[in-house]
Amino acid sequence: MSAYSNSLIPARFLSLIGHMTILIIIFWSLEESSRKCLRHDQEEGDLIDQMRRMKWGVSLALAFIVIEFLGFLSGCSMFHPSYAILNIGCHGFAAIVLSLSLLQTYSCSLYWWIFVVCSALPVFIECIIIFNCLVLRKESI
Amino acid sequence: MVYNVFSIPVVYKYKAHFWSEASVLHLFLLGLNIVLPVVFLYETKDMWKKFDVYRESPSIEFQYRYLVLFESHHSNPLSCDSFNTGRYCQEFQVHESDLDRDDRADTLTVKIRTVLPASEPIYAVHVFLPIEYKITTVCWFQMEGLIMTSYTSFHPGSALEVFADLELHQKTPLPCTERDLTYNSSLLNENSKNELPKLLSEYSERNVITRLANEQFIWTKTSHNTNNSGFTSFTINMNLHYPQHEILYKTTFWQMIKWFLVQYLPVAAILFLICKRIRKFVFTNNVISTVQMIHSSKY
Repeated sequence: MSAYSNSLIPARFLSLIGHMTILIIIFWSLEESSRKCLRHDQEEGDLIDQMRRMKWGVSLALAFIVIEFLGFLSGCSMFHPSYAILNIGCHGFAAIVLSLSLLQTYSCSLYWWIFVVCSALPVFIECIIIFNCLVLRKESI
Repeated sequence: MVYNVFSIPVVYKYKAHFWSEASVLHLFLLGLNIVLPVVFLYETKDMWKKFDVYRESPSIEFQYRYLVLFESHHSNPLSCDSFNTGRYCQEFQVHESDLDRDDRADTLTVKIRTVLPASEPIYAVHVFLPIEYKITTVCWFQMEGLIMTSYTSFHPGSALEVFADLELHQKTPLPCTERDLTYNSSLLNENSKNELPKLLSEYSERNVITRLANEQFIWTKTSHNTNNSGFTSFTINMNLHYPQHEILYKTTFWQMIKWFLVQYLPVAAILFLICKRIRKFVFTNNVISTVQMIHSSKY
């Protein structure tokens, strides 16, 4: 278990922090990033509408990360190796792609793909683990 | 002193059922290793190299035919040509030289002198010289090209000197599959003088044409002391260079596959190493449970 606790736990913590930082940066520059993705899609789409949608999406993703931090730091999901690998993969990937989307222009729909795969999927499993841990008092899924 | 006299590797095998976490991770990494390079190549835009460019010095042969139009203040231009119409230019000199000795002409010097009535001041000159243009190395393509130049001045002139490079202009890439003789038809004939719009529209509709680039003109004005014979002469001097041309062509299927593999394999190799590190970490540290077996070496 030493290799696991030496590397997987810090890696999971760092990938979560990375994803959260990028989301906060997008939240701060909401208008700019909405304008950019609308320009990529070459639509006459409403900027206010897009900003509203992005605001909801980013806020929701940040809320999901807070839930994951609760599960992680409370110890419920800290020692689930396979979940940790999934988590590192998802959040690392999301952090890389979202930081690229800040530098380049991508389609608006890309954010929602990232949201579903890299935020909603891990938080769904996290919720099951927290439920198992706190309500059913089981150690594994 | 102890030293290594023989070494033998030991192979560990990690086994798991098909419906297990280890199997999911294994298949996911395998899929990532195959798909991600394609996504990367697709996003960086030139996954399939459909066109390519190469350079060649073309084989250009002058055809010793010409059409020259002189515009004075009449609506009908004066002309001289080589098409048996009885209006030859009085002097026609051609010199082709091969400077780098590759059996292909590099420069062309054409001197045309004609005698015109002194009462006709010349304000504009149009020259049409057909050439046989051929490229042979990567693509085999032959056509009849045209050297066209025209100069208009406010002052009546008696001589025109032109310095230019011949360039190849392509609208679409050459198909480059077989010997291409699509445009190997004669452009100029004895009626061309009267059918100039037709000639120009036909020529500009072609996908591949030759034209002059980097043109420099020297126009010599008519001197006032004309002789009393009632005739004056007009001299055209053309100094043309044939530089190497960039030829754009469609690549073949195997060429496309070759460039795809050249781009795909390095990306896939780097990803393979990364995936191998992940697998090694996960399975040797028993992060995901597998059955470890020491495989007896067969060396």
